[in-house]
Amino acid sequence: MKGGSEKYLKQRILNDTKFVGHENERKEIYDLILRTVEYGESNSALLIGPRGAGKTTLIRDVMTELQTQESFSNNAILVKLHGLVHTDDRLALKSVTSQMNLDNAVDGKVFGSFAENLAYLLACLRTGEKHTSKAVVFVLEEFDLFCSHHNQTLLYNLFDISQSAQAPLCVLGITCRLDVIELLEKRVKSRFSHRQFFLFPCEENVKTVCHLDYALRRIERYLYIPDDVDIDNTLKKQWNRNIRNLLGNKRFKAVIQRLADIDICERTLKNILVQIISQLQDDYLSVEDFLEQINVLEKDDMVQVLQDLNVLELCLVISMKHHAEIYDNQPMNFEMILSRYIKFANANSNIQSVQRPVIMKAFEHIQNLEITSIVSGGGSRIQKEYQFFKLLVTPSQICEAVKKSVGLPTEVVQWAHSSLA
Amino acid sequence: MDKGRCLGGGRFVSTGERIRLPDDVTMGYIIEHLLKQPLTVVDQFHSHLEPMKFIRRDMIEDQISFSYARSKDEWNVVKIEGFDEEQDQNRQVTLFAMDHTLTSLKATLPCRDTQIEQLYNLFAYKDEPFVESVYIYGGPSTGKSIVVTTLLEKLEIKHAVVNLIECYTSKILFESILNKFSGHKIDPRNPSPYAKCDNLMDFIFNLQKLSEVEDLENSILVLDKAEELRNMDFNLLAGFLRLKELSAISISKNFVKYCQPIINKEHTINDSTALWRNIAPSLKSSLEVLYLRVDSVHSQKTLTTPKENLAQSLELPFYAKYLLIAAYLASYNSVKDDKRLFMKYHGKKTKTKKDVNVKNKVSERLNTQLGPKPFTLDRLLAIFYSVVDDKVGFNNNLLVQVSSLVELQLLSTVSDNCCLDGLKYKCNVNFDFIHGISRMVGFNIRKYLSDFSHF
Repeated sequence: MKGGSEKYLKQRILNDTKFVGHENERKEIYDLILRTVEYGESNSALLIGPRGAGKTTLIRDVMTELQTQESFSNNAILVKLHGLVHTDDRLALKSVTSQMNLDNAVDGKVFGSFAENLAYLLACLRTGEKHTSKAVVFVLEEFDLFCSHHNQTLLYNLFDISQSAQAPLCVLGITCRLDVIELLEKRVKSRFSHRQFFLFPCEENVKTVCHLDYALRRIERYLYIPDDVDIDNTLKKQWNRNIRNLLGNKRFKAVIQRLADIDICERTLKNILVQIISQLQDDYLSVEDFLEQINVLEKDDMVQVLQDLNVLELCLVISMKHHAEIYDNQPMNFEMILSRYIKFANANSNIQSVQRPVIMKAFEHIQNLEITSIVSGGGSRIQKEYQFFKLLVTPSQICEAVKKSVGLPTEVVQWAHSSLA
Repeated sequence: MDKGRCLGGGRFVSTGERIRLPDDVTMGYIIEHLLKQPLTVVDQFHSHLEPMKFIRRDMIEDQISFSYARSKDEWNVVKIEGFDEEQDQNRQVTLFAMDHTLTSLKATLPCRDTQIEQLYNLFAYKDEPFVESVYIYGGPSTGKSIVVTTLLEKLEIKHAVVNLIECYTSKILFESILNKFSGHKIDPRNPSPYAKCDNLMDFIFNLQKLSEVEDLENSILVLDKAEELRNMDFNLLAGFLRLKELSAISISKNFVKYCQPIINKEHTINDSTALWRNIAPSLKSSLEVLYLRVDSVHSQKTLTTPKENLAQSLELPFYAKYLLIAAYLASYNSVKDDKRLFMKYHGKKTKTKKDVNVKNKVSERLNTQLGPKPFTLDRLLAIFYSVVDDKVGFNNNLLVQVSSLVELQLLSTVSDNCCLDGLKYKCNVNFDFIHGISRMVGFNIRKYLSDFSHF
């Protein structure tokens, strides 16, 4: 199908910038920034919520709305910093300078300290009285990572300025760590306004939080095509009817309940929807499409990796499993596993015996796939055969892989399931 | 059929008979010549009567229909690259596959249909937005990279492939990504990258700058061997995942390699069991070569010298062999067993309850399985003298053997070389090897190993 609806839906899911819900928090943040710009108030706040809750989207949404107002865009500068990108305060300051368009003003100047440098930057924005100075809105994403910077210099200076009302400054921190206040040093903490906003995926004013309803509502929001979209009308009607039927379907609800029980993150839902939309064949969504994607989500990758092993490698993994069960997850080495395998191979005439180097190679392959990991200690001087390692997969994963792989010799299957070594 | 009723009361037939040409030409003759109505010529339809080779490659996409014919041994077909001439003589499959990149991809990369389809659905339509990141995993040499690169090349999407093993620091990584996106060629006389990037911030800045010059919309970054990202800076993996329009790649699955032994085997299973027995040894050795994945030249040598003979082929002096045996015994016996194993009159050992328990326990934790323990030179010499029957003079020649064993890497020193006094060694050979050696000198090594000589 290429009626344009697929493209529209993909756009909508992937480039969705509209923020929905959490009206109270949005209003407060909106007012906070506005007050900084209009009245020269300095503020600081933290936005806390789990990943995918819409923290960044909220800020972006607020900022785009504010920037449409002319008085705002003339009087305020937005500085965005990201904890993953600006890994130390020197880089952060460099980025702040360029985002304030002050590269020329700072060029060639030498500053005694970080605070001096920042104060100079802010002074550059001032034209006279306090309220005529340009306001600066700092948005610090991954705020917790800024806490690990040396002496927390940047945070200290930002909060200090916002506290002492030198220049209108609004500091917004975005983080997913609930204990982020504890990460702040005492002198930094005392300068922070302790204004915190918590964002959780489900709206909290609903007393009994129903994940299913929430997920269904989001699916409807992403998939329903509104009337004003330029798509063939009959197609649109048919599609929307399809979606409505689907949302009312009992089986569909059960499938989405399964998803909501594991994960209610926005990102997971988006990933699933994109997969489904891009695989769409004939303008029709069925419960099976969703079911298939959720099965993929629930699938254990490690079992698949184990299924891909050849019989010899699988035998070695099984003997590791037995060893781990007998010795209560004590570390093991190649020689122990080898002797256990050879015992098994000798007991069953159908199993072809192979040479030691072949087994060693198979063992190395297992190690490369990170099914096992070497226990540290002893140093690298120990020969490969005697190096201790631990098994990283659970016995149930191994059993499942054995059950699923076809064409295994019966002896191997029995050996895998037997509790006796 | 009643000719008269269907076509102008038989006049069409009579006209055709008069000009003695086929029906379609008769129709044209009537319209153009008799009725004087001009026919519209549509170039995009093609008949088997016109030479197909005159349709140029760049014209093909505009045509509505093609045809083909075969006169004698020569094919009158469209000249186009694609499927094998044998399989697709009239080029219809190739023509069909042309606007179906998917089909041609599936044909070139067999057994990867679902994976190709998934990737194709995500990236084939350029006017649609791309997903932020895709994670591809699977065992080694299962066609992950080839699927991704051929797909991106066929779809003509701008992409940069970087291997994380080649780019082992973040600086090299960032610079090579920018080089590839900008198409910057490094001049060997003046090897400078497109832009210098020391950290993620510089990289993002330069990427933004580059996107002003070149269109980087909907381009794809392929990170091969992405597992290495874990060992690099903490912010790289998370940082790459956040970058829009980027995709990460790691490891998928293979069948080709593992199929080979099965095919070989099936040939013989169909034959009689006698033949199977006949072929089994050579098949087994060739299978081993396959498992070990060594190249064929090298494998020929290993076939002629089986592993057991390695101990025999190693030419060691008589006393050096005994020294090696003594080293093995010292490494794999604990010190407290020495007295019992090597002294003639070690007194009667009373069986304690503990000993019985040890014996009854499943013999899993044998010394031979735990690896060699270090021993001192004094202990080595003491064991050596108790093992060798005849009298050996204690002199330089004997001591030099120890260091030559170290030189051959049969022994290795554990402690630092600076302290001459308490030098410690470890024995590096395994049981099979030492068993071969001791058989050659007529020595029963099992008798002297606490693992085997149960007391």
